[in-house]
Amino acid sequence: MRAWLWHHLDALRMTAARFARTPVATLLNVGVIGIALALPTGLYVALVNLQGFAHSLVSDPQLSVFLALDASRAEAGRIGARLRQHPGVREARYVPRDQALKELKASTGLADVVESLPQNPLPDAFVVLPRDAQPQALEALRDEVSRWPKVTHVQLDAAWARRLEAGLRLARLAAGLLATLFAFALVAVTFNTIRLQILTRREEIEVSKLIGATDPFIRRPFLYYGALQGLAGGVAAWAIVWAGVKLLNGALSELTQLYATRIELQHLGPEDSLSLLAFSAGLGWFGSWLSVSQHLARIELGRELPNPLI
Amino acid sequence: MISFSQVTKRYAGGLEALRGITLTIENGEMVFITGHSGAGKSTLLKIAAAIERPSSGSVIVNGQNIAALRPRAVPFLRRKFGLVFQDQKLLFDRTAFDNVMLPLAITGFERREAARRVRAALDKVGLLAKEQSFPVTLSGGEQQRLAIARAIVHRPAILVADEPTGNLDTAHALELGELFRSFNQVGVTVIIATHDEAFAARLKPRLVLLREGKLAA
Repeated sequence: MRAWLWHHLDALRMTAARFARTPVATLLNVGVIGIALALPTGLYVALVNLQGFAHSLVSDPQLSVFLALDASRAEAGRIGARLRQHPGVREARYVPRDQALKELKASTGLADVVESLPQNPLPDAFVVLPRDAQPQALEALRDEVSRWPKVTHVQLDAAWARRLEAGLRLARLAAGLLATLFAFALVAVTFNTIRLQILTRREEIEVSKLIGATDPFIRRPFLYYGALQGLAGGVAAWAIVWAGVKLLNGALSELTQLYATRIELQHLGPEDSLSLLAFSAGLGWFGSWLSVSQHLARIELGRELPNPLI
Repeated sequence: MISFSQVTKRYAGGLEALRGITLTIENGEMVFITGHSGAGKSTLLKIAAAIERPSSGSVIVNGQNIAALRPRAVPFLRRKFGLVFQDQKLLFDRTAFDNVMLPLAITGFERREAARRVRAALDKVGLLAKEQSFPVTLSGGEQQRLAIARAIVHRPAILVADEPTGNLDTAHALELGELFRSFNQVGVTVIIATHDEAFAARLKPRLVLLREGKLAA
């Protein structure tokens, strides 16, 4: 047990020493892996933020029912009653055209423009809260109500949120594809680094084998190297995304102050951060495992050739 | 005890390096394998140390049949041997100390005990003062002694050396011979392949002469 632990500690120590011996190459490798991982990670962070933003905007789906401009009060009252009796409607709030104009004046800072209008361009309207928030039910309700007399237009207010949701799904797929591609790149970079290391340390491997090193013993430092390099790349990616979020937040706060709101981008949560590091270390390990299996087998074959040296 | 029985080694391409060798080496013996180059000396040593497998016949080392050994068991068998290679196979990117440390690192020795043993081995071959030197800075004789230190540091029961006096002058060769004799005196089985007859004659070991892959005496 102690020997086993000692083996592992020793392999780890040697790996760290090897990192230190070639600082530039190590930094470049870690940089490449970091950038490769930062792209999908950054996209993921952007998605998570957009999603949170979308959720905060869309509470309950609602329908806006706009009446014809020439609809009378009585007709509006009839439509209101019909809406309230409808089994698919939970609540219907009447917004008279004068009140709508007032709200428009108050909320958008367009008072001057509104003031200059010769007459009120807005129709009477109802804001309808449906009983069933399923998209199909909403659409059926919209289609039904829009066929009623004196109703010119029914707008599904959650429609844009659903479009956003669909867009986000697409972006998530893109992030997944990107992550797969860059994961492959990470494995390839590690594979090559380890291949070069095996070539330069071929003698050491041969001698070690000759004097009784087991395959796991020979593999171990390479696997550690791959995993550590991957881990360092993961840390670099995390730092890149962190710096990006920090920079964007600085710019965003200026922008959002002008609109008197406050939006702040969130960085990766602790769980996602740990996943990123575990993922990158795992891929590094995998890349070096592939490389070591390939190339050590070849050194093993070399032993079978007639060889004048013992 | 190492015993060869009807061992034949045929390389790809048809070269027969060993033909029907039957030979027993007792524990604690000192044996010199002699013969011209190409007589099969190196091959014999390689088969004894499980570096190569015989094409036919059996080799028993301490009761284990090497030819039937599972690949996973081979490294553990090799640890019973101390190997001095013809070309030494020193690692030039590390110090003398670290070169000698290699076999102990492989077996997973506790660090302080390992360092003590490395120094003992270096002291034995007279290189203690040069433990921090890199092999390039050592003379040919010193490099050979360093290779011997690496071969004995894990206290193997069997020491195998292929042409240890290959490129040494007579004085250094004699020194080396004494070193091998001292290991043999503490009970280590010593097997040396050499074509240097003067070196062989002086130590008065058991001589095994190979000629074209067969035992000649």
